[in-house]
This record gives sequence, structure tokens and C-alpha cells, in this order.
Amino acid sequence: MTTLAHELAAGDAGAFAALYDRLAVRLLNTARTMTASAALAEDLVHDVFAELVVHRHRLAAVTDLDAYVFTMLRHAVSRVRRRAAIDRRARAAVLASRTAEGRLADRPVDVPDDGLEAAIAALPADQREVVALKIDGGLTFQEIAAVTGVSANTAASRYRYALEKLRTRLQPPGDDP
Amino acid sequence: MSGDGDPRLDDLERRLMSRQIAPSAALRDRVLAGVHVAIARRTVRPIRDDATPLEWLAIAAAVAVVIATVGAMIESVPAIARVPEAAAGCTLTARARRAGVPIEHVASSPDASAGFPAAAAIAREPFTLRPRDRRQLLEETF
Repeated sequence: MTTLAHELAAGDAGAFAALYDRLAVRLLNTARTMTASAALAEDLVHDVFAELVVHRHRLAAVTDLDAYVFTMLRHAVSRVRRRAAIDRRARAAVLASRTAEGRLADRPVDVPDDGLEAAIAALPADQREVVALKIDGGLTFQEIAAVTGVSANTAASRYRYALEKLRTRLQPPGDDP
Repeated sequence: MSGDGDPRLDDLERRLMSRQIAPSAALRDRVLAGVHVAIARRTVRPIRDDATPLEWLAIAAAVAVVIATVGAMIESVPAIARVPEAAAGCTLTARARRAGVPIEHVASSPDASAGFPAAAAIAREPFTLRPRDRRQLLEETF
């Protein structure tokens, strides 16, 4: 157990500040890539730290603090994703009924203008997750395996497939590979 | 993190890294304020498997107090309010239940067999309560 983990488990606010300063950039960008929302990513980082403090006594048994925090982030993203799916279904039902009633015109899909963001958002969730943890989180495939519960080889494959899809999608029209 | 200078990265990976944003100062303030509040807050600690004997004793005492309190609250509710037959209008049975009279006494009385089928129906239930109230009701009713 590291000294920092000791201090965190003891409820030292300075230790939490140090942990934030060490991980904030990686956590924020990982969450942003996973959720395709900067605002949601900020909320997730906040929630992860709040949860860390509440359950700080568990930190006494943690050996890899970074992997532990990224695992918490992944769980938080999963929760948000489940809630978002429920929201989407509810909104879609309302939108469909109102459109059918002629009360609302069809709206364009709300996707980022930037082609790269749109391409990332279009990736399957498990591939986007690995890209986020690798590129934004700076984790190794071994660490990603620990966080996601898949093997390192599977994580590496997902990463490779994701990059291939991004390259294909970002290719200008008519430009053969 | 920035991997712009890493020669192992290809152009796409560098492009992915270049889109990273820096957390705002406001986010840091917000997170650390939440940390301070959460540390300062008195929270009920979950029961842990590594609780000390003293902690287990405190938990057991707390549970006993809750059970005793709830029991006292239930006891303080008028007995008639807890008897379904009272709501149905079976006054004799309700009075018997409230006073703790063995219901067999009610069921075996001429009133029960003649005009109180509900009392006869529940006569099969084992039902004995406080002697003091039982005596009082016997005096009043029979």
C-alpha cells in the first residue's frame, strides 16, 4: 500500500487534492471520450472523487490506485449510460408521438461538427472505451485489462479494430485505402 | 497527458491525443469542495466484516433499541384498531380480542353460535392475552 493510499484512507484532504492533480486530465478526457460529452465528463470526475471519499476506508486494501480509480470511472460511465438509454427511449417515444401529431418538426441529429469526434462517437462502446483508456487514460493494455475485465490481448484487439474503423471513417470520400 | 512527441504513435493516435482538453480551475474547486464536505460529514459507516467486537456490540444494542421502540409503538396502538373483526362490526369478538379473552370462551357462548359466526370462525385460532383484561371483559360480557 502506498503512502498516498494511506493518507487517502485516513481522509486527508490534501491527499485527495494530490490525487486529483495527478489524474484529473486523464480521467476527464477518458470520461469525455467514453460519453462524448465534456459537461458529463466533469460531473463524472466529480462523482468519482465524491465516491472515493465516502468509501475511503476501502483504499487501505488497494494496491494499484490508478487502476482502481479508472475502474470506478468505468462503473460510473456504465451507470450514466444505462440512465441515458432509458432517457433516450423515453424521449424517442415522446418525440415520435409529437411528430405523429404534427406538433414538432423532425430535428437534425445532435452530433459534434468535428469529424473525429463524430467518428469516435460512432465506435462500438467497448472499442470506444479501450480508446479512451489507452489514449486519454494513458493506461497500458495490461492495466486496461484489469479495469475492464477482459484479457490484454482482447483489449489490444479492440484498440486495433477501433483505429481501423476511425481511419476508414475519416478517409475523404473517394479516397481508396 | 500528451503523447505528441512519442515516436511510437501514428498520425491518428497523435490526432486523438491532440483533442484532449485541460480541466478547468472551476472543476478542481468543485471537486475539492465536494471532498472537503464529504470528509467533514458524519456518515453512518456500513457494517464491515472487519468490525471489532465492540462495534458488533454497539450494532446489536442499536438493533435491540429499534426493536424495543417499534414494539412499544405497536403496543400503544389501541387493540381494537388492530382487530379486523372490529372493523367488520363484530363487536363481541373485538372486545374479546382487545381484552385478551380466550376466543374459545366467546365462541362457546350462546351469542357466538347464534349471532356471531365470525367469532366462531376464529375460535380455532390460539389466542390468549393479558389476564387482567380478560377478567374485566368476562365480568362485563358474561
